[in-house]
Amino acid sequence: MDAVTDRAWGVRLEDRALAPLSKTSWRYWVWIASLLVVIGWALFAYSYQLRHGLIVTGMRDRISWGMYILTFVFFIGISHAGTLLSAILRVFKARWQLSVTRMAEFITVVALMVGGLFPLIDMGRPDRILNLVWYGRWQSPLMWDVFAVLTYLCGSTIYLYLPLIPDFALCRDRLGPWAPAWKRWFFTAAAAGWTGTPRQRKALDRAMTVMMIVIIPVAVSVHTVISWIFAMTLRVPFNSTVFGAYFVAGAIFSGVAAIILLMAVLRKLMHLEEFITITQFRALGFVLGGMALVMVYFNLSEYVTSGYKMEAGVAFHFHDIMTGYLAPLFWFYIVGGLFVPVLIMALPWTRNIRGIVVAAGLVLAAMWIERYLIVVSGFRVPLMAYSARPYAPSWVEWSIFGGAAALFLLIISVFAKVFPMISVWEVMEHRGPEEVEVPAPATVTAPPRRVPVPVARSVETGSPQ
Amino acid sequence: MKTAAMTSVYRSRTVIGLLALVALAAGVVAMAPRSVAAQTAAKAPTAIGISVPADAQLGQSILLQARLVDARGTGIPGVDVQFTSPATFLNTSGDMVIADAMTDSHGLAAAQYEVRRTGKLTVKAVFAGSDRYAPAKISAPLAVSGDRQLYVQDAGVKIPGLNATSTQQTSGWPHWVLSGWPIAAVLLIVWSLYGVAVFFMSQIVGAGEQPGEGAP
Repeated sequence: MDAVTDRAWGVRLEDRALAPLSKTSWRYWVWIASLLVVIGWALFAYSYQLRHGLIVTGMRDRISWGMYILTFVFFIGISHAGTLLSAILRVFKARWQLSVTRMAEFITVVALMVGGLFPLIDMGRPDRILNLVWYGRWQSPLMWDVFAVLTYLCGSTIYLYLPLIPDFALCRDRLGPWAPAWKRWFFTAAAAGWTGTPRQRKALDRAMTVMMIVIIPVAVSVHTVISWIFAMTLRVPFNSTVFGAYFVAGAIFSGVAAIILLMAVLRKLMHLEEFITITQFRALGFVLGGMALVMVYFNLSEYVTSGYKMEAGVAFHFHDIMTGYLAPLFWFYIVGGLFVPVLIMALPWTRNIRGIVVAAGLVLAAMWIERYLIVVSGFRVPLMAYSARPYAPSWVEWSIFGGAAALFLLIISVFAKVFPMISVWEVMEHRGPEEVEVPAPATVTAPPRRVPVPVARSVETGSPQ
Repeated sequence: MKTAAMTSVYRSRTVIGLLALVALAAGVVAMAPRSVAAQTAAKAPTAIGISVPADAQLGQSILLQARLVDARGTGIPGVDVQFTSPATFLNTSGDMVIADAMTDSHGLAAAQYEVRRTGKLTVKAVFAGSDRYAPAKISAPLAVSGDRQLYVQDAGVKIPGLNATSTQQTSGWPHWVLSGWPIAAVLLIVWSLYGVAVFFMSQIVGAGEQPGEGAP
């Protein structure tokens, strides 16, 4: 019975995970087309900016960082949680996360690819990027940032690819005779000759161990370096020694929210309800709630210490964000982004999938706003005897931001058609089916029975082939 | 008899009380602030002269001088003279102190000032007054021209090998190699570990079953 249940469960897992690779509905093409329209509009806006210069944006000499830089920080932040969370949980052998690691790792790579475009867009003259190579200086945090992001992108790509190898082999072996030649070639090449021999398993295990250990400090360093771009700039609100840790915590916070949202969407669209359950949502929800408390602590620490001294620039900054120009955004961030998610996770009756998804949505919106506050409020504090200027993104900036969001979704959508979004072999080998709740017959008044189902398959018997 | 003795005691107490009240009143009067007019009247009059270049370039360091003298024209030594210039910041306007100096034995106060604003400025020399001398002030025009960039970037913390390499290096290596080696070292370590992972990954390729071997 158990073996039969396991086998049926494994077949269903394979079917669900691999179904998008072979079947494509018309809705998918409509979705892709609509994303392409948004991206096309963004390209038009960008070409307009290239022709007329950065004057078409809301940025001026007094607020020279705006939508582009904050979106860069936002995307890099989202990228953080994917690989980092996946690596940490793998190091600690947490099994619940296995069905969502692939999505998390995808988010990392895609967010880095999209976020990395924004410094280029912000330059106005992208051809001058080569000046970084010819005239770059080691003492500039901008140079550190370039190296850190590139190193993280390469590491994350390797880390994404490694556990994909057995699943590529699975795709290769499941391809029917009608499969197009390019698909056959692609999966054969990507599978790297994987047949699941002990030597291959050992090599894969070693490679993944090295990467999961090295990627953690790399991930932490990336967002620390990004925070230093701010903290090493002569602006009063950026004068903080905790900016590095604050940015890393914020990155994990927003990244977890992104994973929850993507997980909810893919679970619904790909009918993965059996494999992505309330267990994953609750676990990630608790991480989200915990990180919200960490963010509350960092905010408290930052505002109490600098507010206690209340230098002239700090007084202006506090007035600006708490009661002035940026107050509605600030209070949405504090209440909607920090306290409400904690409340949702604290109350048993809201601690369900819908509640956790709402919390994640609030956090993602609030963290984008938090970056807006950091960048814009930081530049609004006058450095000299001039009045503070307002900043409002122009239609060009909004269009490019929308295009970036569409590009992010497009790449995820295309990847979901080419790669299994669940690490099939890992879930089959290390997790197996969870306990499932079997509803009692309607005529019986007793509560639902919990039917234990064997959860673990041994590595030897659970061949991913 | 008894009444006379008590009367004497009362009288002596009354006298002592009155004396105490008089002393208290005298003390209060002594401690009460004298009127400004009385203070000014008691202070020796002063006069101040200022010497400022008529024009200067933006960023130029100029010498501000003021001479403080008493009514007889003798220099007043050892007092503080402030140089100010009108400024506006946010919604506040006032005289911003741009330099201050102590007068020497000839009553001369001198300070260097780097001009950081352009236009027709006014520089004032202000003596705030002291116990002996009355306050005095005087102003002079200063025309500043130019448009150079005043902010020059410089690292506050210099880390050897990162952003501070000795100019005495004679190793023959290019400067950029010597100045970036800590970052290069960190990157080398990380990328080497990536290389190790890729090496293990490459072993997968050759360790698969050949066709016909059969699955384990």
